Amino acid sequence: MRKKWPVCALLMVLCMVMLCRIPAYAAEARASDRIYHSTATLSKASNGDLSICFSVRGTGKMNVIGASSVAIQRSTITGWVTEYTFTPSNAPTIQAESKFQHSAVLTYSPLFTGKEYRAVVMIYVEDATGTSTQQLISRVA
Amino acid sequence: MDELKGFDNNQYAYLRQLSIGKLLELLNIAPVPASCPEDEAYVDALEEAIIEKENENPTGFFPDVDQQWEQFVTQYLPEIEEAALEPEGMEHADSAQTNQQSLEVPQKRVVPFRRVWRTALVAAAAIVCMFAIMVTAQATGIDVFGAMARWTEDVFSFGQIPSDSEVSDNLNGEADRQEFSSLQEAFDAYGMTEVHEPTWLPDGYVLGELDVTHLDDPFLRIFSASYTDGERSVGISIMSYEEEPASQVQKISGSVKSVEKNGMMFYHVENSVGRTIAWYSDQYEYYLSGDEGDDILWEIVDSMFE
Repeated sequence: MRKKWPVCALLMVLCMVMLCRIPAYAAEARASDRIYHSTATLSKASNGDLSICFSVRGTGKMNVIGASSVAIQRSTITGWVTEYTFTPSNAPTIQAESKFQHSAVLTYSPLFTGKEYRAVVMIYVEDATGTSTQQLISRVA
Repeated sequence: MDELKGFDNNQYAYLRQLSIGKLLELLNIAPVPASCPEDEAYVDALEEAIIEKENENPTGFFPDVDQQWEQFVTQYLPEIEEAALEPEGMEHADSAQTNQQSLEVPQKRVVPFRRVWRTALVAAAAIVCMFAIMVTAQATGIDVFGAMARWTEDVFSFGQIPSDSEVSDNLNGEADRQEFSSLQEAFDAYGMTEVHEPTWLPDGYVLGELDVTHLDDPFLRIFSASYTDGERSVGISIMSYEEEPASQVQKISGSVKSVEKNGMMFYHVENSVGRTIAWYSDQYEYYLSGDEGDDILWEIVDSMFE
């Protein structure tokens, strides 16, 4: 039993070193040149309607800022199914032009009551040099 | 009884003047056991005088309690190791009756030193291991030592970060909106008292954009203001949240610095362009972003609390 201790100690040290080494070879940096921060929330109103809100702040004045799509998804036994999708064509307020920031609130009446819903928001920011997108998934309500 | 004691003290006060040797001699010839109250008072006074003398100048007349108990154990209870009984020595030495009671109490399990050492070693190893895991978790973005902040390689958030949350670069509603002339005016209109509009901004900065979104059912407040001098910009975003904050802040690789000020934890998130200072309260999450230097951003944050 006494002879096993050095082996155990060595294994433990090895585990610690391995754990601590994780950040050292993690993925490369993936910041955004156009987005500081963004948020997407989904809340249920007292009448059962869903309120979907998103907000995004650009790193400067952007040619286009907002969301390219907002999908309302319902939880089913097979997974999340998109029930409706807001786009700039049917909901122009989800994008703005020549702004530093943009936020929007969308209201949606769900087809089913008592089901869980979530929103998948595709943040979209465009300036003269290119575009940035970020997919945000709201909490479930 | 009090009267008797008073009497004793006066009658036998001379005992206190005697030396310890003399007192011990008197004790040897004292009428023990006392047959009458007077004798009992005399013996008591004698004992008190001896105790007093011994306390003033210890001569070793009183045996060491622990030592005596060890001797007792060695002589009469050799199977019990002294380590296990040491804390009980004081109680056992008080009187024979106490000794008897203590001996009837289930005795402590005697743990060999080797086992204690082994247990301590395992506990220490477990603590080290746990600390390593916590440090690793902290490094990978879960703010174990702080509050509810967490981050990945490219996103910082006070709330959950879904595993499929992603950002990609270079890919080539109906809420009531009101117009306000200043952020403070919007704060006042919607009862925001946790902070106020920055009282300090760098020279040349003016309010560029102000968006206020509010709903009462469900409760929702978003205050977004951008200040610019024409070239650079600083933005303030304040959002109400339910359960936990939902915003995600873009960041470069590495840990997020945190600073505690006025009982609140502030997080400094470095982005590839500019940086964000983030904090939250029970109801709101706050983000101040800009491509100005750290000092300027901190000064703006400070001015929101002055």
